[in-house]
Amino acid sequence: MQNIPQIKPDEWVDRYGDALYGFALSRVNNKQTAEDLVQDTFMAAVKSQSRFKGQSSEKTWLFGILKHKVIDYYRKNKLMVSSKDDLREMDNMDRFFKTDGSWQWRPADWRADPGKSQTVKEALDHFYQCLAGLPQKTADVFVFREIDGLSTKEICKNLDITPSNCWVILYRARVLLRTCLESLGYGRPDEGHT
Amino acid sequence: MMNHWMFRCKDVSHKVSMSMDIALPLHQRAAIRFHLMMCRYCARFSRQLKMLRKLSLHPDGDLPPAESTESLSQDAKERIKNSMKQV
Repeated sequence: MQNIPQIKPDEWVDRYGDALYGFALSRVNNKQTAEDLVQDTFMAAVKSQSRFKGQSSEKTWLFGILKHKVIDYYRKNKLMVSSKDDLREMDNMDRFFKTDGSWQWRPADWRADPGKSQTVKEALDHFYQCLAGLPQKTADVFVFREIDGLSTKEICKNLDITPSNCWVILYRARVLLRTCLESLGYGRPDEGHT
Repeated sequence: MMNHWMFRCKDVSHKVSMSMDIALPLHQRAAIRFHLMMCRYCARFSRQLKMLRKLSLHPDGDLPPAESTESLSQDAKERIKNSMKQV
């Protein structure tokens, strides 16, 4: 028998409000905007609570909704870092490689591992700016997979795409995201694009 | 960089990405592992994709906290609770 996840909207604000607010405030640097994003998150969660399947914790699920809101906010307010036009086309993944299949745009050694230093806040800010700057469908597939934790099978079903297409889109999203982060200064200056 | 045992960097980068979504066959995993030992650029690429996943999962996962420590005011909490009742 499948366990039906316990969900308690009445307790959300007291249990998770501060954590969500802290995340939102760190991303948008404005108290009123952060509060609005948290409110929008809780309202969206109430509306879609029947879709909560208990695959993640209630807290993780609420954070997922908030992250969608943050990305939308960055897009609406043009706070995103857009990929260079010549990198946005699917076919142009080839641009990263020479004809013999070796790297044309060599991944640089990131000066500081953004997750292991004090720069984690800055890394997260840049990450969401880059994510918001991806082409819409590419970003959607990435968010479904990495933030919402859906399997590629579930993504294929939701978006009516084939598994191969899904893997290509995820690959493209990851290449563009790491390239975007690198363009914001993560790579050592002596390496990279040849 | 160079070609190592079947896969080129272009193939390896795609397979490394796919390996984050599905279980690849054993022979492909072995070929990728071998290539990553020999090619520092693909090894970096692989590490950086894992970092993207960590950033996606934050504040879950193993990255250090990066949130503001400020809290919602009591007024804001009441306002949000009321708005939820309107849904």
